[in-house]
Amino acid sequence: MGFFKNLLSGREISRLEELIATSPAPSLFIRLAQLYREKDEEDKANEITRKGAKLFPESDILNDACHDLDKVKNEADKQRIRSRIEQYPSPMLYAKLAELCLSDDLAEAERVCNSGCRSYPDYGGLWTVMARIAQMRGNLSEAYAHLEKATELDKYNYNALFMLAEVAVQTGRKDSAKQALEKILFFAPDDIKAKKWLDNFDAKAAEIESALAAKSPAAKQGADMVESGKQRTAMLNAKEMGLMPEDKKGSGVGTSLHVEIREIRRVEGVSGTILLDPNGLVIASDLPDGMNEELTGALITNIFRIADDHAKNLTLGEFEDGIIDTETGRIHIIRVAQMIMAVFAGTETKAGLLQRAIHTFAERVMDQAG
Amino acid sequence: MKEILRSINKIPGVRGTLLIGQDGLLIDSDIEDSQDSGTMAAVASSVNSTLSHAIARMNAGGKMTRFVMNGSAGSIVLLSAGDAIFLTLVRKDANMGMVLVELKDAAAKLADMMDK
Repeated sequence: MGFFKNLLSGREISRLEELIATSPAPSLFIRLAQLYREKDEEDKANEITRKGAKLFPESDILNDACHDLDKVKNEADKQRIRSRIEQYPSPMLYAKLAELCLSDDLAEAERVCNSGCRSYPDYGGLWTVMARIAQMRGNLSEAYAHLEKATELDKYNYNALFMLAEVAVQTGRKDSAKQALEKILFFAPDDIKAKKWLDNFDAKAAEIESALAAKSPAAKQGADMVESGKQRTAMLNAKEMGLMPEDKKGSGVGTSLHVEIREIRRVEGVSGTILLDPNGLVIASDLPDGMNEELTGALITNIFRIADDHAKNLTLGEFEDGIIDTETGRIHIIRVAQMIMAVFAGTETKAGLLQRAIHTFAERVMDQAG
Repeated sequence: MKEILRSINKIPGVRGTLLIGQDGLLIDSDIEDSQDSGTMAAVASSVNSTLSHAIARMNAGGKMTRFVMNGSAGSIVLLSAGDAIFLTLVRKDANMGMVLVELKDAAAKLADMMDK
């Protein structure tokens, strides 16, 4: 009976996959995910659901399913980071935890941020999250003060500088907004967004001001809803009202790391980079599509630990870095401050050039970490 | 085989070479007496096996062909030589580019020998 059931389900999966390839529809994704779930292939089912939601953002069923998945993952991530903080506290972990809490518990995010800031007052990423909390509550002056502090502590914090420019306009500080955009162009001269904004500064400023004037009562409503526990709806409302930047994912905390990591891609042939804490948790990543961030993180950490443990047995002293060549690529694994970094590149990549880019990155990160 | 290992040892900065089976047992070596080649072979095999599995799971560009591991006191280079693992110990001050070029040829020759 089980055999026939599996056979039929396998056939239906193949048929659905063919249909999705030729004429995708939300119902096809939902059914396919259901079939994979019945086969106990939860990861595959989740992947299908996310793919469907990405392709059909207007589908309520797919979006709700995706939201549930995110919620479960979010909770698991939060729990993992909390236990890491207990064992190996670091400012980045506090900031990451606060950022995860932003989506469903603003008060908890603030509590985490406050306790992180008490222990690590010089970490800019935490002040960026504080600014986002203030911005979501509609307290723009407070957001501006936090962003000033964040960018003073971490001059490469790309998203904090953009946020600062936006909040500066909203609070009538147009000169500060211009200065923030000029700072972005100083370290990223090709940044199209900053260039465009600066070229049409007055028009963009007027747009931000009129959006704020038209939507401020609704923003207050959004903030009230967060407080009353309807956090997700409130965030969606605030987002629709243009009070939050469209892409919140990965912004704020560790954004300077994201920016720095992307810099490594400038080396010809580099396809991606991942930065991990010693326990394999992802701190920042810029991996190509199709590479599972968590799996890659876990495997890289495993390789690093094996190399680190055995370096002495192989008379190498302390492990510094490793370069793995495969048939079509190269992986460079290195310790950066207390983190593990892996860079994926093609075989055509100049090893010396890549090494220089990695060392520049390492120096910047170590500067930031003090 | 011994000749190939010896020729590699003549490259400035190379401290020794080992040829290891996939099971971690030593096939041949040309290394300073003070080194415990048996332990090194077992450790290198374990590192090689972990790496190969991880690379396969990550889907990061086919099979592993070479691993260069740098430490504070020197480096090792692990190369595939047919079914065997070819390990070379390199001093910190060596010209790694030159060593890698020579090792590539040597590994190809060793792989041929292993196949026969």
